Amino acid sequence: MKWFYWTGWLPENVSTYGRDIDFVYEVIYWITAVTFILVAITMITFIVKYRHREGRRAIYSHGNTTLEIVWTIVPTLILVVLTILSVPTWARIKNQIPQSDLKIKVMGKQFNWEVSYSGPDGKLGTEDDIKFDNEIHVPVGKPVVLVLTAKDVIHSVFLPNLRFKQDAVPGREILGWFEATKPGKYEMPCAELCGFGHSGMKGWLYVHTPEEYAKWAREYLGSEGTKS
Amino acid sequence: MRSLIVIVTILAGLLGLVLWAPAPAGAQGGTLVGEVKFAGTPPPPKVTKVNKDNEACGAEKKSEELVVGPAKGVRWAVVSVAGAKGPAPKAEKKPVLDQKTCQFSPHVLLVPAGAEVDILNPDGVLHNIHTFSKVNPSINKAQPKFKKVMTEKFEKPEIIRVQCDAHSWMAGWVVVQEHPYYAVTDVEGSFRITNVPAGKHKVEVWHETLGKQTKEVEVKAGAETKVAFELKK
Amino acid sequence: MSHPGAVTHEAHAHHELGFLRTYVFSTDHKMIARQFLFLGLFMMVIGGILALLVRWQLAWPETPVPGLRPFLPETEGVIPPETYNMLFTMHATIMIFFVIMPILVGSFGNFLIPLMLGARDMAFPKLNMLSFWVGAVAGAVMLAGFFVQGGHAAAGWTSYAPLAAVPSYTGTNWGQNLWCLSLIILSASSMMGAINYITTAINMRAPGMTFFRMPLVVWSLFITAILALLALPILGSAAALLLFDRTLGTHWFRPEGGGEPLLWQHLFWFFGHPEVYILILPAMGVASDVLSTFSRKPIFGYRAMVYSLIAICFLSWIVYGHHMFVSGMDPRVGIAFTLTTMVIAVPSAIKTFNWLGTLWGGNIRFTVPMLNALAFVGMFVIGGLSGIFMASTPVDIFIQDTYFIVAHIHYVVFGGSVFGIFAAIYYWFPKMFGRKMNTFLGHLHFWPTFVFYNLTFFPMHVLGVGGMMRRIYNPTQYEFLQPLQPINVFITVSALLLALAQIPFVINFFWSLFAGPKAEPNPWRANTLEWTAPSPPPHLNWGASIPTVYRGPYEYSSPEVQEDFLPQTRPLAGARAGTGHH
Repeated sequence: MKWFYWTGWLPENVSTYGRDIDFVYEVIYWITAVTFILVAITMITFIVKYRHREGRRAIYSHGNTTLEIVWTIVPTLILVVLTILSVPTWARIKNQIPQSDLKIKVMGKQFNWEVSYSGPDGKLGTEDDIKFDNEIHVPVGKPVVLVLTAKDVIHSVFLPNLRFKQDAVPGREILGWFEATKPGKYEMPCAELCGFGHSGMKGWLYVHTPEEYAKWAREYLGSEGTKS
Repeated sequence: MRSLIVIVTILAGLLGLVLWAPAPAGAQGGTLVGEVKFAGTPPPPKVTKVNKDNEACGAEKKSEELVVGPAKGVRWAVVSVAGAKGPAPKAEKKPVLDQKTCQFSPHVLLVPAGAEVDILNPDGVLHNIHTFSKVNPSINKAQPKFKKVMTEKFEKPEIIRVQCDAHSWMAGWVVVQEHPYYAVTDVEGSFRITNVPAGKHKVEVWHETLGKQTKEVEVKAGAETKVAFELKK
Repeated sequence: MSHPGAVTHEAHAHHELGFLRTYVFSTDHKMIARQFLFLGLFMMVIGGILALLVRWQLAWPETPVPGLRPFLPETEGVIPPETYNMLFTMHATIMIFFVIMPILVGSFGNFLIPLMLGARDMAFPKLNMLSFWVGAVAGAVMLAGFFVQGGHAAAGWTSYAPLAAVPSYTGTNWGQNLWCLSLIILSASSMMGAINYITTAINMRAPGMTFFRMPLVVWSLFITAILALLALPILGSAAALLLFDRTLGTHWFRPEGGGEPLLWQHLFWFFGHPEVYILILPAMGVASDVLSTFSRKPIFGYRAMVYSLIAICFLSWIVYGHHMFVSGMDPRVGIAFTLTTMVIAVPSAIKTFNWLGTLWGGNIRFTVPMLNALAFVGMFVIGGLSGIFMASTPVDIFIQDTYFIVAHIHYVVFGGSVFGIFAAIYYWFPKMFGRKMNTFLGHLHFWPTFVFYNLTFFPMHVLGVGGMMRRIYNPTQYEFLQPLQPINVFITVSALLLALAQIPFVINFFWSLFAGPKAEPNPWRANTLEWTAPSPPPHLNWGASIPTVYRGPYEYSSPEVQEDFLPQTRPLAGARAGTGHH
């Protein structure tokens, strides 16, 4: 049934809040699918039932006020409910950035991601930052904060499997976060047109088990990485 | 009267021949040779891990911003006679800037002013030519894999930085020559410039990270004049 | 009201005008309407070809396009990435600004408003002529961008800064400048037209034509004109600021000089959202009229339909932030925009239900305009429903900048506006050109178009949910997109067939123009005022006196008469003559 069930086409979700996003998506999916089917059935029924036949005259009706009220209020209620459903998830993702000692700077520039971890001084944005091109390494099960910026034009960090997307704007530092639930290697395309190298501008997110992450951090960051 | 005019014309022609005729090649010039060395212990080259287009670019790239040979010779330094006058040399074949294995080759390319450069992309991946120049118009053009050759012209003398935005380690230089007296040092740090007009000259060396240095030199006709530079960070 | 004597004098004077004043620099709203129509249809061919090139590259990346070698000699016919960016930029720019607006607003607005209101022409005929020619200049400037060095604009039709604000970021120079210039000129043209439409609708209605007796087409065009008058200046101003950043060294949008990249987005979308309602409202009006005429029934809920249009007019200004949910705009503002965006779906829902109510109990005739209007309703519903996904901020995090958006866009502007355009052309062609279009060719156009249109755009929802980004040149560069590539091929093949399906329309249009059977004044047996004038109407539309209006526009199957239609202008015993407004 995968071909019919749209959520079957979503990439695998490996993010804590991704579950919430997928839930809202599914609610909307079912509401819109049912609405569409009802409208389509009604329309087809009317087209068939009320097609022209000799000797028949159309019903001379200008409308029905009660119906107007009903089909104004009911959609409004449904849509307000959908709004209310959306707010907490949105706030959790965009407003409530968790405290984390793993802050990683991601700077988009034509056409690569420059990723920085804080160096020995423990501060991001200083001379001793450890830089990588197009790769982010994080441990599983730990909230990670990304500090997004750009060097030239607007880019956008998109992590489909983590349901993460945030524009990286030059002149600004925008915070985003995620917590991965499964180790693996996840693609990280740029999702905002940034020039002729936009297509193919991508990086990789490596989600490690805690032991693997510690090993990586020792080798590349020169320390155990973060205190969990 | 008529014979006076003839004589004056002949004299004027001879004068013009003497004043404006180019000096016959080799007859009056000398050769500048020398070395550019690094003072102190050179730092190890920066290595960048390649995360993109690995089939074409390999696994890692060493930066060429400071290449120092085993005998402390500085590679990729540009030695030129400052203030010499043109014309820019005619190249026997077109200058070529290659990008194979995602690296600009040569790292520093000498191009006579007004000449066309063929930029090659044999890698099968997207590169682009992005130049940063003040005097010449800047270029920012994509060179996708099926554009195997792209031709660009550089009109004015300038030292131009070139980078490829798709691959952040790819950087190189185009030095647009206004006169023939330029050379780029090899892995020993040595250079050789022939046919330099005899006389006192300022010889300048430029390197992308080590900066500039100038030395006064007297070039003797028909002989080799040695010049040595020591650059430090 | 003009005196009969003045009418004949003006008609006589018109007869004296030469070729240029009659066909080129005409001030007659009907001629101007035809000019807009031809401009729009011509541009539609260009916009369509650009789309096919985009689709080719997506299905078969980096393969030579048949027939393109002479245009791309360096790459032997393969589309390079910077050209690809230019293709989708110009496809959207041309379709939005030079196809849908000129045809729905410029052409049908011009043609229908005076005729349906019982006016002899627009309030300001010379300004009207100017609005077309200024628009045509804007079109010429836009086309010129294809021929300059560096190519045409390539920063998307949304032209985000700083990508579009600094020439070296795209490598495009004069192309993007001409893009800005063209839109500045176009906004002037739109404003001129808007002033005309609003004034005519308010001041020049025939006796008895109260506001609530105006057909919904006129209401929709009237509201559209208000939106255009207020929104287009913002586009023109923003484009000017962008042009200054590019050419004069200003820093409106460039952060290195203290500018704000997000300012462009705020300005553009504050214009951009009303703009999309400008694109759809006239089509909704057309659908209402066509559905009513061919159901032989009054429109269901006329007043509700009018109030929905007015509601959309107000709400469309306060939803624009839904284009900026992940832009870096304060997330708290995002919540406000979610609410308003959800709410703006309500008027559209009301309209949909009323269209269904119009069909209910009808005596439906499946003429070619009716088929297109029915398609409009169905496709617009899909487009509107897909919008709800994006209205929800958390879902939009995933959906933003994916093919889900592309699917939504095309369901509302193609499924909506373009089927509305087809419905309008098939319906009013007899009135506009005095000849009837061929019905068989109309069906030959409609059915394949409807089928291939859905096969082209519906799978894009699937691509978007799978995460495929917009505006990428080669989906196979991404591992997670490779399983979706067969869908891209399927879409491209459907798109090519969709393009072929337009051939019967082109043939029908031009053949009927010259050799179609002559049309009588009221071939559809419809009620509104334009059908009381000859086909085509002469200069000044009616003879000695303009009509008087006795009733609303949708009195089909009225018990008062035996026929199943009752024109607005037909006096009945006991019907009140039209003196003043009531």
